[in-house]
Amino acid sequence: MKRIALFTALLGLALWAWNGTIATESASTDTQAQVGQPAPIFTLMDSNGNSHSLDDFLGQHVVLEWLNHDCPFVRKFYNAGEMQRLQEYYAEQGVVWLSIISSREGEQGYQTPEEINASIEEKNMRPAAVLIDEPGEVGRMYNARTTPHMFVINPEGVLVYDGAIDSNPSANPADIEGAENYVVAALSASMNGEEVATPTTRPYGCSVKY
Amino acid sequence: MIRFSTILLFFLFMMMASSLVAQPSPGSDHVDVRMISDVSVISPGDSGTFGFHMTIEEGWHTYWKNPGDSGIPARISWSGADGFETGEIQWPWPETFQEEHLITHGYKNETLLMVPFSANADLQPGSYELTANLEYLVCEKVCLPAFERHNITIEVGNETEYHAGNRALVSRFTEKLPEADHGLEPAFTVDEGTVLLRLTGDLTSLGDFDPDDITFYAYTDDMIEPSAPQQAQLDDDALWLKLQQSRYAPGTLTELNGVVVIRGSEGVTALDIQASR
Repeated sequence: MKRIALFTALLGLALWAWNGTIATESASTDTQAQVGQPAPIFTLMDSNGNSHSLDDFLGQHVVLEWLNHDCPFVRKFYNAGEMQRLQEYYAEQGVVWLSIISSREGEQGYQTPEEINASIEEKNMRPAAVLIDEPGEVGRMYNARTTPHMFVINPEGVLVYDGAIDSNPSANPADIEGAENYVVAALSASMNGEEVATPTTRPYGCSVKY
Repeated sequence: MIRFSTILLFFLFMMMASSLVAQPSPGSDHVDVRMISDVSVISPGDSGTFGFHMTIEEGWHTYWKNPGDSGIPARISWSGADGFETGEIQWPWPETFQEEHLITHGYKNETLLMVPFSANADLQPGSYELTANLEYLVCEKVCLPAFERHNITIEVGNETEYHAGNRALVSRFTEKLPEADHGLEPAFTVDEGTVLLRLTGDLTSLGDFDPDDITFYAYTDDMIEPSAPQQAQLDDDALWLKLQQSRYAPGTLTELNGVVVIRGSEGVTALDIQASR
């Protein structure tokens, strides 16, 4: 028991010494998205040249979907029609679904507005808008890591989910069925006035090509 | 007429050939996977090791069991394995990759994913074909998933016989598995997201190394933040590692499991760490 106490004291001392030397990391978090906090406000242009601000959607649930059509993990959901199904279903429920492309020009997933509109038609996409985030400021604000990376914002403007689309990190479309869709779970809970049971998960997919 | 039938035959042949080539699950152009077994004959009740030997194109990499900020580890599902027990994948220690703004853990050039297996004691002698369905992700700047089917035939006989070449391959990579029997005592504390891991004991067995050459890789993605800088310090009888708790940790960590990789001047040492608080 004595040894444990001594050890704890030593660890505490070491921590104290160490913290003293490195205390200046991780500043400027107020503009960073954080679950349970107001979602950072942004304004972006969509593929038709219309401007959208997150402010406009107070009073509604908002889904942010990071998008890159050349990413196999994104294709997993679009080729199976699953992403479109969710977009359409939640549009009917009054949810604003915003797909965001943060790929830098010349990188995988970058599309011109015309190419975005062609994809919307070809893939039968049903988001409220596809937003162009070049050079990635909004992606960095939300710390969007992968495509897909999903966020859910409640009608009060508070971020209630940040993470993977579902519980099975795989590129195999056969794995969609049987996985728990975290976006569906977050929206269902939030719409019923309940706490989101799993508010943060590790997103999986391709790295966002900033 | 001859010409017409020749053309017809040619097309028939092409159709047959393409149906033979067509696979439901495409493999990777950037990784060559060869499935091996270290035993050529296995006696009922004995065990062996399957290996998936990955030769990876330069510039590309595959992932370790905890891939880090992105990426996906390989998965294997078995069919035709009745009468055999197959274990979990054993992963050689990984390397660190910087992918854009993310840090990931995986393999370049070459690796061997190993799966221990055993033949049930009541298995009848004969020839058995097992199929491994292997899924993995290979990335350069872009990532491509691969879905491959690998078949292997195992003879069940009176006496287990080893395949010398495959056995040597397995033992070369077994050396890269985290070593559990290192005699060092792990303990850790967590203070506002800062994890301090201490290893106490005889550090001379670790050889010559610089604290900068030490990396801790957690076994699961909900313990340590892959992209946070790590710092190591040495004192007389302890090695200290300062890490950052993962943003995906369900609460303050009560367990810390992973591998400490020390890239010393005489080679790499990988220590299996199982610590609880």
